[in-house]
Amino acid sequence: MNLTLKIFLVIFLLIITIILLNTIKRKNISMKYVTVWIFTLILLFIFALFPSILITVSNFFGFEATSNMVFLIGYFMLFYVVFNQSIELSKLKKEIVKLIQELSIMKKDEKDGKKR
Amino acid sequence: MKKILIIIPAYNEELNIEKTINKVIKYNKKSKYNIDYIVINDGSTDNTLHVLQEHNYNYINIINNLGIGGAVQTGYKYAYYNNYDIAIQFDGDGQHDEKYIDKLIDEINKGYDFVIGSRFVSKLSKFRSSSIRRIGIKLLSYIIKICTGFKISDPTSGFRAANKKIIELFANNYPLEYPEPETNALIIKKGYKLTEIPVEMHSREYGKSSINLKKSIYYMISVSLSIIIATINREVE
Repeated sequence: MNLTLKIFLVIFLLIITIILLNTIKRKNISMKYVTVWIFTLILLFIFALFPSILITVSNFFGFEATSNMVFLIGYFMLFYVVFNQSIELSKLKKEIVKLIQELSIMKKDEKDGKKR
Repeated sequence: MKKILIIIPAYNEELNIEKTINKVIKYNKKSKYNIDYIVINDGSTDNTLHVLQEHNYNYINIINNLGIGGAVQTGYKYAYYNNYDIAIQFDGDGQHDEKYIDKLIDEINKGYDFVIGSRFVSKLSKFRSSSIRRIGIKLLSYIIKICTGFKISDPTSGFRAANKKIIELFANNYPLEYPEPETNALIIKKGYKLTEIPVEMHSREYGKSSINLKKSIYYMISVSLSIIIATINREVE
């Protein structure tokens, strides 16, 4: 791999790491997701510094070009993440609806001076 | 004496709601049953809440718009928490005819768990929706028939009565979007006794229907899927 490309990739990954650390510091992300992202970043650093690992693996599985394998894995990962987020969102929506309903009924009971 | 609750969901119905509630209140005086009502204001952005407050109607104000499913379920939860024996859905837009409320209750008292007021059981109702919608309704009816073996002529009707068991079921589990066909199929699949009676419906006086024509294809696909999933799920349980 070209040295310029390598340097570019590492700088790019460093920027992402800074963004991630900043987000963690501001507590804008729950720890449940932090682990996955840190793990992904470490893997990406390893691959950027030692691309030969990827080349060997892709040759083993018979990919015509290493980039094909990288894109395929990328697609799968994104699919996994987005799908999980759909599930998570649906769960959140359900919980929010329940909260709104119960709160609205409580307000009604309060107005009527009723205790449940 | 059985406790009976009319659930009236309302979203931006400032022009219709007063008339609808007054119809129900007036009807209660001549009904052989004693009927309570509750209006569910689903976070309306118009003056619906103001109208409800001004007349001191019995209402729940949902603090954020939930959509028809979430609003109706709030009504069922209220019915459940307050130990109602029968709950009846009655639209706030004036489409439903209150004179059939007693007939719905009669069927519950005969032993049915769930009663649907249908436009298509007989030729009673002059208002039967546009022809495109009627085709859609027929199709849904057909899908329910395939999935459950039971024919419902008006699966999208929002004029329905539920007994205590169904109130509890709905309080705990009710779909957020397009709830009617799916819940009808679910009730049959769960083995509850369901029947239809003929009712009259009217075209709404003010405002637009919540389902617009552009979305109807998407509606048909989602509803069909939801019916199939609801009925398959049951077999897995």
